[in-house]
Amino acid sequence: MTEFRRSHLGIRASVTVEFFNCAEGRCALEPGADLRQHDEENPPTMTFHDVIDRIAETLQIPADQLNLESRASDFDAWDSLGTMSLLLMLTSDYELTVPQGETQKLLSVRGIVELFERAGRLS
Amino acid sequence: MNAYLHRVHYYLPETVRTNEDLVKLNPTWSADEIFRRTGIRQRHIAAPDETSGDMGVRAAENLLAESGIDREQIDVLIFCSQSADYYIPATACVLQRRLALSKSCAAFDVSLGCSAFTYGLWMARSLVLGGGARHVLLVTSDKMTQYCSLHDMVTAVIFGDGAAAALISADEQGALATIGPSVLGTDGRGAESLIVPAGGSRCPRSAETGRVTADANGNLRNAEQLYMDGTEVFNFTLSAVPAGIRRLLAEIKLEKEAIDLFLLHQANGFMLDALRRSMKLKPEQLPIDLAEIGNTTSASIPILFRRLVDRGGITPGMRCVLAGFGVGYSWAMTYVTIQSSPDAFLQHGS
Repeated sequence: MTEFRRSHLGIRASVTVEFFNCAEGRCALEPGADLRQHDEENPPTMTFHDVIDRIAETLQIPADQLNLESRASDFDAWDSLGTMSLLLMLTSDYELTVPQGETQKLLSVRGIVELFERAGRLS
Repeated sequence: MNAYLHRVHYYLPETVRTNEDLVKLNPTWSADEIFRRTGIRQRHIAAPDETSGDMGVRAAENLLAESGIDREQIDVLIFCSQSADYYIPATACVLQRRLALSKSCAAFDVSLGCSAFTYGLWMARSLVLGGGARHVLLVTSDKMTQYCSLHDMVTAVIFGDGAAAALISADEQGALATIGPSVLGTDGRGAESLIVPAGGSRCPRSAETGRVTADANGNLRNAEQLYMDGTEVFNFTLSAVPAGIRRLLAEIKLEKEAIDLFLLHQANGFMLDALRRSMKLKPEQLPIDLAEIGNTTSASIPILFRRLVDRGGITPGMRCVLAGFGVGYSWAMTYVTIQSSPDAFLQHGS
């Protein structure tokens, strides 16, 4: 169950509740289903660990290698394409906007966490 | 009264530069990685002595030969390019003579890049609807590779050279499509994210501007060559393009599901795929056709359009949104409806 949640972070609260209400811990939703269809009026809120998990998933690097001080230069996978993948994840899955001239924030975990925080999306 | 798109044609230079060619010059690069990042396998490269004006003439001649229009009837020639033949005079004036257009033909250049074609459609339609012209020849042509360092992975792998021409007319007879409304936009804050810093009045060429330096990622270029902040440009695109399309759809009172084709500037495969995902479009709604061509800037939309026509990918009655976006930043989205009974050109290509 934990693995399932970790791979589908960003789901809306109602979907999460639905998941946990599933009988015997099983969910009708297939693990491969895209659960990131959130309510536009109630965008998902993230914990710090959720953010780490999404960065790790997007860059395809182990989450336990990331912390608040991690920077793009520490990882081969966090290159320009990785950075743009992070930007796409933020805009498409969370409808976050990165102000023009501030894409440098995408080069560190701290910067990305700040983007969630500034949008009031970090719990 | 309407304005109609009659014909679109294009020209690509003969020489091709493949990913493998680039890897030979940059042994640390990988051809497969270039393709994975861009969706591009090769791009066409103009000859050293072949200019944007030359390519524009070839595209326009292809179009004029196919359309059969009397050149004397063309009232306006609009030449769009970011790589014009001269600082002075306007390339459009040179093309007026080379294309043997009438001396009563108005001719002017427009300095826009990836938004040029849709800006051009907007201008041409405005001229036709306003009664200022009956037949407009719109030529978009760019030799962007002349600005690209072959050792800058951000630009060398993306851009190719090419030209396109379109005939816009007040006459419905024989028309391919009706040109609808456009929405346009500009955000000059992005000017420095996609720029050739030196060579103009702000920073004239000098020994210093010709000095090659390496950026943080090891890309080599000088100040007279194209600089692109890929992440910033991508950020702009992800916000401006869906927003612009939403504005247009609101204006024409259609939902995105009612649009058959979103013909976007063919920037690069990753960006187009991201836009498709961001706008939640079906793959068949947003065609991508740049693997063999690359990003031909101002010519990419009409080249995409024509190649779709030739492959039978555009059929009578289709509703299309054309979207150009890029350097400036500048963007323009135009609604186009394919005629319900277009001539044989659409059924068979030519």
